[in-house]
Amino acid sequence: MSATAAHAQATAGPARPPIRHRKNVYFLSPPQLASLRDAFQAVMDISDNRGFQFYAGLHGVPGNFCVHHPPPPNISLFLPWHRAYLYFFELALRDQVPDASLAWWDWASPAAHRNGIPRAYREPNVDGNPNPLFQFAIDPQLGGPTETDRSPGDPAELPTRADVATVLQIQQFNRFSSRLEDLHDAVHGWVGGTMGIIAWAAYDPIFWAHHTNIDRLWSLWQLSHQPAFPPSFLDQALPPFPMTVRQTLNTTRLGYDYASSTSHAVRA
Amino acid sequence: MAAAVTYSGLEVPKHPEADVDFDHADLQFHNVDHSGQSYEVRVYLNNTDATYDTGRDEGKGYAGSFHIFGHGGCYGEEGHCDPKERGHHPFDYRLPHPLEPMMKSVEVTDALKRLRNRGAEEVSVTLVPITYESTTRYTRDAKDELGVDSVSLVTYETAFDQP
Repeated sequence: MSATAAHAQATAGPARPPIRHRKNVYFLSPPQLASLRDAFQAVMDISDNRGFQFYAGLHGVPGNFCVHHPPPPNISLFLPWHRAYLYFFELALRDQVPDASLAWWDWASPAAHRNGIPRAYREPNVDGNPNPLFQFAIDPQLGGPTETDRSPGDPAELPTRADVATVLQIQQFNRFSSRLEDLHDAVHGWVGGTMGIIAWAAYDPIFWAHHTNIDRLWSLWQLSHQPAFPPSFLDQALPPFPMTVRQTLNTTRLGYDYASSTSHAVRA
Repeated sequence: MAAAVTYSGLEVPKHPEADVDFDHADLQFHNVDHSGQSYEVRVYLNNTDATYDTGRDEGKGYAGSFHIFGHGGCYGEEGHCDPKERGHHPFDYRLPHPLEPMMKSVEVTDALKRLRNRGAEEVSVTLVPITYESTTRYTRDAKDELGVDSVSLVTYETAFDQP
């Protein structure tokens, strides 16, 4: 039985919650981590526009769609664009493994400051097989690196809880977005290797855990900040995704929320 | 490793009324190039000799840092990576060119107050770029040069005045 079929069977029971939770990677149960790995492996095995190569290539080479620090006076699209990116990639994962969901890596946590990259992403092999969260083989026709690698720095150099708390207290959206993006930039550089360059970063599986954490932090900020955006910003499309900024502002309407961990049971 | 750059002549604000003071100060860096390598950029006030070895020592003027997540050079044909190559058209709904220069900012409230309390009326800003060396092999003809056109020092009297 394929991994996809096995997961489909396992989740075909009566009550899968309608809202999926993106969980802390450190708290994933063994089955949840297995789902995440199986989903990544499944999309990595697909070379068409349902696959990992396609989605990773939207960010830098060859798509060049990603949006980072905007030239002033634009309102930053960094957070909405990457929320849309995660949303469509997560659907691609769930097309293959229905109960999979993205997980977040809290690089400001004590565990990250002790150990750096989470074990789930740093082990080259799991149960005798290559770990799909460790590395990806990039299409050589793109003319760049042919596989991802990392060269992480000293874990103590990662952004701290105090850094995050300072950013979350910022009132104004553009200022908040810019400072959060700078923490994000620092983590890309800290991981190093292909993660440290826009052209290749999204090919590293840990990119998705890093950006899920950035999206989580935006979601936390949104709980206490509801800025009044101009319609021109709200109606801005986020190419190549069929989604506007307005459609990214409510994660519940996108079918997900954030949690540290989840556990689910059905009546015996 | 890209060279350090210094900007001089930024005025430290004076407040004629003793009970009014800024409670927030930002350095804003304009037209920051992000087409090439990735850097941590360490910011020093009134230390034009700062280098990598100066470290994050507040006593030597360290005020904070910002980060450049570089595109890594150009993976396209001629003109692909030059924002000026794109035409200007009415009804143009495209997003800005990905390589349009950006603005970065760093809060320097405490560092600026320390200098002011020691009598400084002007500050210089020295930027020391620290290249993420492990990333350089994944770039193509990427500039290893810190591109920042200018620097503004902006202070605020209450947190509510922040832009």
